[in-house]
Amino acid sequence: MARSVWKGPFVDGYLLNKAEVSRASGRNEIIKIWSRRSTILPQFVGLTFGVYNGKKFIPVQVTENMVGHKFGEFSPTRTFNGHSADKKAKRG
Amino acid sequence: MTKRVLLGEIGRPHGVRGLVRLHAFTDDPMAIGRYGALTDATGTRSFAVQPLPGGLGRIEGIADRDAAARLTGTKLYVAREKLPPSTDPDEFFLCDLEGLSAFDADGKALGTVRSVEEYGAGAFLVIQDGARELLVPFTKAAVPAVDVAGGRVTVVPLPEVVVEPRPGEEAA
Repeated sequence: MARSVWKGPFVDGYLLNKAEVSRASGRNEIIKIWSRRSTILPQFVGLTFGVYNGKKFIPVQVTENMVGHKFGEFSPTRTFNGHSADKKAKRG
Repeated sequence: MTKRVLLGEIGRPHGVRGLVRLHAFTDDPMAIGRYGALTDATGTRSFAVQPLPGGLGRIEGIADRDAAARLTGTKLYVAREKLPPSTDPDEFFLCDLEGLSAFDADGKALGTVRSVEEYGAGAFLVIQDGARELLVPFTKAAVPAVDVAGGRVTVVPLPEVVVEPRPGEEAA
């Protein structure tokens, strides 16, 4: 069921504060978080988070397209070992 | 010895005319037919594979079900040189990155690139050093130099800030 609009998006408050401090400092750092339930807000764009998946902190580079999704969506909790074949990775 | 890349695997036979299920590991499943003849694990047999819609494939010279069934489970490889060179200097084949040695800016060994993973939020390198695992975002800031020919990457691990959940919040 959809969340009521009047409540606004859910985000853990301490996470918002930490992101603001990190953005203000201008340092390129990984913010390790456990809060997979928090919504990605526009304030987070450009920051890099390490989102815990129960075992390790998966690096999540926040872009505009990710706003509105939850952090947990980008940090899968199950292992999938694919083949590299002809796949490419682009350095951001 | 030339490096070979696993592109797919022949599955079970389909029908009586020699078609097979084709498990393509390529980015585009139809691309498995673009690299010419593929070889098996030993490199002795080669197969001209034509991918068909619906996950099927036709192999040149295979015209009946029994012959197709004998190939079930055969892995299909291609020589690394047959993959087209990348036009973007910041774009790398995963097979090139895997196995590179990772060093920090001072030249200290950090381990070996075990894999490159991407879950929709930017690619990252998984660097293995014994039991220790280091996850590094694949960005110019964190990975300033990639020397595929030299077999090494330079990694500058980003500083980490831990945001501890408050009591009771970690269980939610």
